[in-house]
Amino acid sequence: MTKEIERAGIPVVHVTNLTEISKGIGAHRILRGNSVLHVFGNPKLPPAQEFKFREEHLAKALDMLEKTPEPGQDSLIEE
Amino acid sequence: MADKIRVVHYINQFFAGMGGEETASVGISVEEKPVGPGLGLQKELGSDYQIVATIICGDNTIAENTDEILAEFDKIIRKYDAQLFVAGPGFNAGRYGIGCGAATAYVTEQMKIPAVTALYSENPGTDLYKDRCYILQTINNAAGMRKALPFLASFAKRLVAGEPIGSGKKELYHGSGPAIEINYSIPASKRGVDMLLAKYYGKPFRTEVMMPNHEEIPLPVLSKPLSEARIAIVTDGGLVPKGNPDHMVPTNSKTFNHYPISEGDRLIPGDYEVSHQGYNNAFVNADPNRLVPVDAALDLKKKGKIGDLLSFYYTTAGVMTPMEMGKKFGEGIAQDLHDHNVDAVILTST
Repeated sequence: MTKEIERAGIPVVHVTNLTEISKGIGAHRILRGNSVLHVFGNPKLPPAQEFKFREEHLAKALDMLEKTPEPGQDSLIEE
Repeated sequence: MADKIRVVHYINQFFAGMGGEETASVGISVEEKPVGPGLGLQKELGSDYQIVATIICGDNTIAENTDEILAEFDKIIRKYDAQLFVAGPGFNAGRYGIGCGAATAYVTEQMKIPAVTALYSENPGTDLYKDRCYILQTINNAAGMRKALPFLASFAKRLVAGEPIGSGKKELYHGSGPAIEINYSIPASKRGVDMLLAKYYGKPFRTEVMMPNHEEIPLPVLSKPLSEARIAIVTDGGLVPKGNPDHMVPTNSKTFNHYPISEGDRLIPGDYEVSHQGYNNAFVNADPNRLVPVDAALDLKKKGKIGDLLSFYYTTAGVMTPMEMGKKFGEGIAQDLHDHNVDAVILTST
């Protein structure tokens, strides 16, 4: 899905814990999630702090939209 | 002197010097020598190889009567007792590319003779046949002949020698190459050990599980600053409204859907549930924002980090769903995103 959306010219940040698979498929911007079970969550934290984590993690993903992979690299990956 | 490896080469009317479109309907003919690009190919193959026959066929003829023409190819290849079949290179020529792909796939699958061709990635013949035979990568025009011929020749020699061939990405062929033949009368345990031993002793072997060779697509970039961009959220984690109104299946998905995000500043737990049997859904059921981060996105919109958040999200269940289906979903979602003027996507995968 990521690739087809990118093929249409729309940049995507793929947020996943299976970053190697995403890279293998050829996604360009990949951010590791907190867990396969909750990519944008951290149930160990109290709600207010979890929200802060989520906002920071989403901000990080959004910032990747304005970046490009290093020269010679196919993907920009933030673990 | 040892016998030379016998090669049959296929080219079209244009490369045979018979003319262009006006002669594209000529039938099949054979020259018992290298012709056109075959001269360069012979040189690259070297003195251990001999192009004993060149099959020349008009592009219209082979594209319109593929099965009949391939039956003719079969007879000719048998007559000359070929040990190697080379087609093209066809670069970006459409009907020629289909001819090259069809013939190479036929010889690979039906005749079990080493066979190879070379085409441009967007040649229609590439997509049709790239997972049935070796189609080496070339540029889109015949100016690439000088590079394509040595590449074809060295690859062909490795096929004839039975050398192991790696993935398409590494070896620069399109797709996944010929289908892998597995002899199921030999137990998997024995096949596995045989493969391991072959690898250990440096002998040829071929994996039974070939990773698809993913094509590369151009890097998309934001067309405006992030602070003005409209963002959409897509997930393959199976988030649906409570009660799953469209009966979205939890595995082997056939559709994607889109659903509105709750009024207010976040997805409200209890308004949504997960239909996805590939992970423990408890954490997302307890707070759907953990999968589709609407609360954070709306807050970032308020703070001016992004321009807007699309008022609905896209969803499917990615578990046990074939790649082709995912591709179809992606195409459909992309079209819809365009219609809604979305500039960028956050896609979450479980």
